[in-house]
Amino acid sequence: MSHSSHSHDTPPPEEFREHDDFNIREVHGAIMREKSEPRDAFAPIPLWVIAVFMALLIWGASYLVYYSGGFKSTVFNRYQPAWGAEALASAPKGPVDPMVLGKRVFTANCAACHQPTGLGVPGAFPPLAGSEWVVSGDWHGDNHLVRVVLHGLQGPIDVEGKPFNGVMPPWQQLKDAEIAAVLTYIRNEWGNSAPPVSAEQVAKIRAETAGHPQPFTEADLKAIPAEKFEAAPAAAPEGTTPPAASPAPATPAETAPKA
Amino acid sequence: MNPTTQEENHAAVSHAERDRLERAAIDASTRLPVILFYSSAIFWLLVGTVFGLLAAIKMNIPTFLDQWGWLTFGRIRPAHLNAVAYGWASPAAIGTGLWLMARLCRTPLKHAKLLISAAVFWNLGVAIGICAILAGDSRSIEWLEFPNYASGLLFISYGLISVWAVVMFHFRQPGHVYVSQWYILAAFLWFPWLYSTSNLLLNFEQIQGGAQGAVNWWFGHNVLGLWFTPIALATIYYLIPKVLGRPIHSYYLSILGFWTLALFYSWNGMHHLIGGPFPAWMISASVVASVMMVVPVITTAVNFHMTTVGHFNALKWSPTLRFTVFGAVCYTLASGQGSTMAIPSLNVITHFTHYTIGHSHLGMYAFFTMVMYGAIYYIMPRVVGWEWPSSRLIRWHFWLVAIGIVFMVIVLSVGGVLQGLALLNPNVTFMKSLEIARPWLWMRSGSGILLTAGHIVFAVNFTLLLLKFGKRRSGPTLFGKRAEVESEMHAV
Repeated sequence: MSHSSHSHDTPPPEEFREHDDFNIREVHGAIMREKSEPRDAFAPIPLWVIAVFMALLIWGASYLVYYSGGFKSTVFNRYQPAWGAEALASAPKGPVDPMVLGKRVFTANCAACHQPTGLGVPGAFPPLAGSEWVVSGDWHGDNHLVRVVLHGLQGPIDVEGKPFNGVMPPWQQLKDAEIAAVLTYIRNEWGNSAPPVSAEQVAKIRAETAGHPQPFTEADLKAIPAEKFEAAPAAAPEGTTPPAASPAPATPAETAPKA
Repeated sequence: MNPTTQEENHAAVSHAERDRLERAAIDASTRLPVILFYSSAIFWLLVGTVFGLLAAIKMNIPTFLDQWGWLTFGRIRPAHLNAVAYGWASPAAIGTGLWLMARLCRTPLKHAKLLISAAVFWNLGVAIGICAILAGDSRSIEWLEFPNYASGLLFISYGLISVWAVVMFHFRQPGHVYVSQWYILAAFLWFPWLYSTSNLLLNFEQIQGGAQGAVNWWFGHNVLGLWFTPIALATIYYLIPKVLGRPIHSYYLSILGFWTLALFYSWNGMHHLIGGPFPAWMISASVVASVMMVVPVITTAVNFHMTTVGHFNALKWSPTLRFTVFGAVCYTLASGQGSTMAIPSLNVITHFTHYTIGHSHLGMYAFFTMVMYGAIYYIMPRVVGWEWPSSRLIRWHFWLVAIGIVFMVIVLSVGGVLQGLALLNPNVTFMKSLEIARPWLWMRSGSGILLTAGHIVFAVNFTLLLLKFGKRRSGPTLFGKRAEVESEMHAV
């Protein structure tokens, strides 16, 4: 740098001159007496400091292996081991219980109208508990129930002998497995008892009714012959059975109940 | 003595003489900004102390002064934090950082008058921000309570200061770059980055949901670790060798300490969110980084200790050294405590208790503030050209704040652990856990009175120095009788 190329025995460089009015010697007793600016000595780093550093690095790495949740953005439970025998032992086994998933879907989407008790609101929202629409009594079939959830229902209807006249919105945005689970749930809660609904059955009806323009009416449904689903195959709704030997950590939906 | 040696002697004398002239010119060039930043810092220290004391008393007597909205706890407490963090600590750090940078770069501060406007902007921002908090316009984000019209002013001012520091570094005299310079340069670059990013993401264009918490604590911890800590470490690295006239023990330890601090400290913030709705890896990475902070801390502790060892009697007479070494020891303690507090099984006890408050005062006061006192005691006589008027006031200042802060940290730690254990015990009601903490909070208020008294003593001595009060002293203001320390007084 050219600005600092002056040698040591020349007078102070230009940039210091502006302070010449400042009476340095008289005022700066502190500056006169102080020692030179700090400098470095070069003692080596003590071995024990290196040892502590290495030990901490090993500890830190193992801690992250155990408690990082595999660095996945969806794992929130620190205590879910990501690796090793513990992880295998705590990985979810078998299918999701449709009653658990169904209850969650019901609480999030249905309970506002049909109520957590499944009794509905008299005169406004029909009950699900004991409803022939749900357990496929009278002229109703399982295929009708799936259509109602997928596409909604409007106009005057009759439930448990009481008239209702409102609109239920369509729920096509729910996945097949979610619709299957929530239907299985309402068919087996509040004293109801009916065979479970499978995701495949929902998928089949979703395909058949694709492009159905608006919510069904009671008359529409009556025109469709009632079907009773076979008892669903033993397998759980699709996509929720992890490969048996996979040590992959659980998805949040699966781990949440543990937390 | 042969003629050659005489000539060499003559050259050595003129070299030393030239060094002194150079230092004098540098000190003169930094004079106005440094005095301005220090004076305003001490003003805000007093204001912040009053807020802190009021907030402490309100923990004991909740109805105290509750008839005025602007004096309620929810406003006084953030006013305390912001007054001491942005009013006291930051300007003290800026003044110290600029002076050290100028000295170590051996280059005068050019166009220092422009930095006066930075000091004015900064204080305007702090004043507006504190008033806004008291008026109820706080952003309710811890460490970032200032509304945009105040934080914007701070940012402009800080931008100016950063540019000055970097420019000074660019025009440094050739030669070795000392460890203090690394820390100051890094801190002057890190803080504007932290402050602007977190204000943009939280106060200007808010990001969504839980990510706000992450950004909040990314800032909240980094402002300590990447702004206040490096400035204080730079000050310790300068003052201990300077006063003792010894080289710093190990350049290699300095390097290890600097880079491990930069690497690990920046991850620490998420340990405030243990148990929160964040992906496991974020929290775990932060826990690991917090424990890894042991490395830079023992590294600097060894470096400071080995530099001072054998010269501890200097603490008896040098005010600068006594405050600075007190701070250096407390850095080790505060960081060690912080590492343990990040371990989840201990965090479950201390989180959401007064223990955390004790820890933050150990860091921001017993470490940072004490080091800044040391720096102010060293720098002020040089930039003002007047020795400290009263050795007795310095002694009172030291003992009041040293006893006050040690007492505060102890009672908050004990009270905090008891409170935490009570909160975890399902058989103890919440109200009972508050009662358990109560006597300890009374003692904390007592320690606050000691600190307040110490600050008043300090402010009085500082004002007397600015007014060049009394007779001109011929030597430094030291603890103890002058005759006892004659041999060593030249250093201070």
